[in-house]
Amino acid sequence: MAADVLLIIPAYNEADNIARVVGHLEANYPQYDYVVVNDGSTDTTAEICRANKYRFLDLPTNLGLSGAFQTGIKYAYRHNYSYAVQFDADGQHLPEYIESLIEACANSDIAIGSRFLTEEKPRSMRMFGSTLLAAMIRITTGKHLSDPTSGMRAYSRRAIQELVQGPNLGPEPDTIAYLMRKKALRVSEVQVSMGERLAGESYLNWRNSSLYMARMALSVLVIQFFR
Amino acid sequence: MRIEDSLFWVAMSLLILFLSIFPQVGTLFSELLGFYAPVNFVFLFFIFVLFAKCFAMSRHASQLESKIKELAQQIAIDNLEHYERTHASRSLESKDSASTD
Repeated sequence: MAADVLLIIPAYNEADNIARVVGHLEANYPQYDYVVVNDGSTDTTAEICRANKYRFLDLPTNLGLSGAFQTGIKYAYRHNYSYAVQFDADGQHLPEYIESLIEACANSDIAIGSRFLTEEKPRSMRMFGSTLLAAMIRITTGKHLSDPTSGMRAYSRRAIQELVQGPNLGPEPDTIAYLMRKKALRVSEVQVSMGERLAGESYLNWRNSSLYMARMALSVLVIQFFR
Repeated sequence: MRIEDSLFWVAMSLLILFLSIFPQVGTLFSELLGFYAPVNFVFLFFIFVLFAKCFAMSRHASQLESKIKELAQQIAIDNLEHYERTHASRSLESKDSASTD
């Protein structure tokens, strides 16, 4: 079963982290195939992948997380993988949880690695956004997700088939809501814990967070009904 | 600019030229449609035309972006598959049978 799993690792300017993350996977989790998606990085991410002979998809331009992840999904689709796991290149996602994620995914269509399924959600601006998003998704789909913004998700073959198609199916909560509501995919959650970023800046600042929330609200509350 | 795309701008400039030479035409239409002042009609008309053009361009840019995305993804996938075929020594043989298309 495990050989049918592809870890998709989108990497944009992750030269400081990529070797540690992928090296750890290769050394300790050889049962999982992986593919790094270099999203037109301007640093030495591609050189590091080439020098270490990592399996990587080298995008000629920067497409953003959604386009980079979809590249990995297309690759998984073409190579008939049964499961694709979204896995961060910055060291936040811990590979020890992949197994339970795949198990959950086998009994549903999408499994989300939730930080707050059994643990309590901390109070912060960021978590407020997460709660707001969960409320929106609950209103439109009727399902409660404890951690909609978690980036660690496993997708079954059926979900992969959906994700290769659309232009608006990035690895984001609105896609999950859309797949639940319109495609009747089943979503399950698994408790995971996440590490800290190894190095580098997070992409989320005030401006990006506001844009993100606006985009999600529009997508989940309005556009979803016209898709 | 491609000739197809310049069509709009040539037509627009001819229309503006025409309206400046014969402003009566603007007045005629504005009275016909019941505007208070001809200038209101002229503004509203051009704002509408520009709105329509702006929407068309936004749609066009979106389509172009999708095409670029598709191309970039295809290039990346083709490159990796080519690499895997030529360096078949890595443990991927079992998967390769699926990708002969």
